[in-house]
Amino acid sequence: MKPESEEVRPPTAALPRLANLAGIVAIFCAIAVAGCRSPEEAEEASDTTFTVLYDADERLFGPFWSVEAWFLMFLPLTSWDESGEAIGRLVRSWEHSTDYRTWTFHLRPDVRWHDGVPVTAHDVKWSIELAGNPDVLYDDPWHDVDSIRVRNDTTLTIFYGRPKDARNDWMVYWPRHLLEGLDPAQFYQWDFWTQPVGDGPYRYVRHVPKTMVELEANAEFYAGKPDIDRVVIKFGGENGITELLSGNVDAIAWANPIDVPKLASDPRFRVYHQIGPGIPWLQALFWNVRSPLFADRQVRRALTHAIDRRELLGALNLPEDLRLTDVLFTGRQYHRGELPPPLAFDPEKARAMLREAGWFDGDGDGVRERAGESLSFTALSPPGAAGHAAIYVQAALQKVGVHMEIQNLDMNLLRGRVQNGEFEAAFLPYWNSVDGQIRWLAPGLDSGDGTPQQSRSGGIGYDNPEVARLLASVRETADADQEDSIYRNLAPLIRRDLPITFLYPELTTYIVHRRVRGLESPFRADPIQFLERLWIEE
Amino acid sequence: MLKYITKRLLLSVPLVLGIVTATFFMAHLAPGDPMDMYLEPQRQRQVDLEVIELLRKKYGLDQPIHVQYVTWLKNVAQGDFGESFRHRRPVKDMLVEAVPYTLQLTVLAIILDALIGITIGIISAVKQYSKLDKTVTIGSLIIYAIPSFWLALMLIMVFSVNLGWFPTSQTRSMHYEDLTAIGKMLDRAWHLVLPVFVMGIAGAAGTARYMRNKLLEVLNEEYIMAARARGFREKTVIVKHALRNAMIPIVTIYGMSLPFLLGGATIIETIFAWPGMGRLTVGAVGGRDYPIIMATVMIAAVLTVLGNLLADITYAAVDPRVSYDAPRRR
Repeated sequence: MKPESEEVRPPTAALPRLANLAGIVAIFCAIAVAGCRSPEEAEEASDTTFTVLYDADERLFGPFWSVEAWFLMFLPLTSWDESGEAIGRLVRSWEHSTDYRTWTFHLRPDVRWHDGVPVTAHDVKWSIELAGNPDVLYDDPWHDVDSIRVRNDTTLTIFYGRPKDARNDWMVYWPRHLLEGLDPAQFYQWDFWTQPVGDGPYRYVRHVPKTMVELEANAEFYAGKPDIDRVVIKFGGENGITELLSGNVDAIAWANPIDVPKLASDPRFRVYHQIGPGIPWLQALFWNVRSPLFADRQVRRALTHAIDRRELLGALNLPEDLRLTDVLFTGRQYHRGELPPPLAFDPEKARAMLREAGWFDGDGDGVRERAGESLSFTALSPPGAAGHAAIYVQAALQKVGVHMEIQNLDMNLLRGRVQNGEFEAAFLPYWNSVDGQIRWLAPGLDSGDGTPQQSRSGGIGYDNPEVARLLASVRETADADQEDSIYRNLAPLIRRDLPITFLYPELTTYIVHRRVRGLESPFRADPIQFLERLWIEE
Repeated sequence: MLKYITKRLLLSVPLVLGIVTATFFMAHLAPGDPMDMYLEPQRQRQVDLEVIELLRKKYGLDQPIHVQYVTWLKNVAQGDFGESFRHRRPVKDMLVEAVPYTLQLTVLAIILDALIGITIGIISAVKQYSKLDKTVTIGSLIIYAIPSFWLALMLIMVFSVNLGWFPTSQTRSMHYEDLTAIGKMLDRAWHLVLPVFVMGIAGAAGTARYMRNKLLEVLNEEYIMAARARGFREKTVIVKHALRNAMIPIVTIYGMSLPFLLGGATIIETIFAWPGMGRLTVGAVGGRDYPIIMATVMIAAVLTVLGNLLADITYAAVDPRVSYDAPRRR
């Protein structure tokens, strides 16, 4: 074979030329410039537009998770005001039977679907019946409904199988005239959810898949056209802070409290914390009452006295003036502030109570003992803010001679361990509704024969017949005044036994651009849910 | 070759089956209940226990685990991956939406990795011990050592938040629908720059190191000296003689790198809010959404097997000594 008779060149000749590199850089620059909005465009878009980052996709108005977003598009029958009282939305008035099993709702005559068709009682009936369809199995409380009778276009009566405050349902209603021909088996896949026609304060304009959905103010809205003309819900998740800092969005939801100090000190933003609405979740420290360490309520009370819950709120970057308590309560009591104060932070009292209970630090190692057993235990904790709370509590208990180890667990694992009774103490969110209360404090009520639904060895092991009786009576009524009265009777029992130490209410933190006005912590802080009442102030 | 490919594909069936079976039992036997998602504080309403039990029955979670496994296997054999517990949508539909986004990222990252890594590796080898070589060597070591999530966040802070050159996240601009066809294409490319760069650059640093070493090895071989002695141009020696031999192990590395790229995509997709398979899986694992977990694991397993097969086929293409055909009898 004949060798190639080419001239030998230095190896650098094989390298990419600089000119090629410059070309590549130029292409990227062109792409960047093409993608950037001009200042004029940005100005125009920000005028009366509110952009919020939300962890969802274009199906967010569908029957999934984004309860707050629903209320931009669809109306519930009722909602709550800042004092926790029900106010009419789709309905203008209502009445109920004395046993709270029959509710009659009178719809507003001036509410129309966004396509101009009037909203009628038939739409409400059809939606509830659709939710109960076995092919749909919607997760709202349709199953309490026995029957529905439409009296006329604006009046319907709902008959429930048990006493119920029908205003508490998180249900929105859909346009029968557009949906009744669709297959219920395909309910969750209906295209309607990505291009909805609602009756709420904002109407659908368009969406870009996996990117955003755009809404405009509904000029025909019964309560008047909202101030903010245009809403863009941008889809995202963990990228909230960078989206906010780069000016792409006006607000982010579910902000991590750890980021709060940095953003709170930025003059562009304001931090809001939303509680509820309705019955709030509480972050709580569950004691396993079966454990020899916590069988004595004196010990549980002592440990609660050792924790400075106000300081804990500060440590978690939460508002320090939140309402705290040790008792069970109704949502209305919480909103009105009708709560007995929590056990005071008093480490001296905690030490004295532990001594009275027989726990002394005999060997001087900083941990109390009794009959050869040290006051040392393991608390299960999830990641996130509750994990930080656990570290704070660990330090607080150390000061009164109690050693607490922390075992971090995924929330699912943690909940499973607590349900099975396989724990000593645990940090867990507690749902303060009668169902949540019964679940932990009187599980025997959930089965006909009094046997707890979770096994007898599961849960926290608390057993107080009087508490169970009172909780059972809560289930038998839907009268708000009567409920308040029962909870007032429950308060001293729970405060005395303290099977669960309530640390602080669970809050949703929102970071919002200061130009967005009308928000207020803690009952009107959600910029999506209360959007129709907000305005932009440059 | 065809026989070899068929044989490899048939052998991969029990392998994939083994992977998904192990995943199925690990996921289902791990503590935690998928229906617990209805008890999360993020839900402002709580679902009645009666409804939860109906849902549990609907999804077969009340059945013994072996029954659930057989049912799942039967359904998958018919192309049905089930319905997501959380989204209440067919998993197949969700995958059809998510997989192309992940493939976009991983394929472009591999291309970027190859373009940068191989080029830099060649430059380093050809200019061994030069200032350029030393700079590239140190630079690639630093980049290789940087965690991709940190690099992603830093790039976002610099190029998106401070300079505003690139978007912070997502796959498209909000005004995407208003753009022309070319504008749309550029917009998609603009959104790909940072995530693809982060995914590709770490691989490129490794490739560059590997390429440099392999090329130096080959450049010291006798046949290269012989080629030079015969008066071939240096470019010809490097490109036609040395590079082809040095590339053989690199091809294998790319085949093997697919699982790592898919793993990396999970992190990058989360940071850049990229609606791909990785982000879908992260959400599913936290919520014990078994149908999504199983489907994404299965796809990852299949892609990995195919990646390895592709590497072996390419290996034969670039190395004439390798043949998967049966030897001819004389």
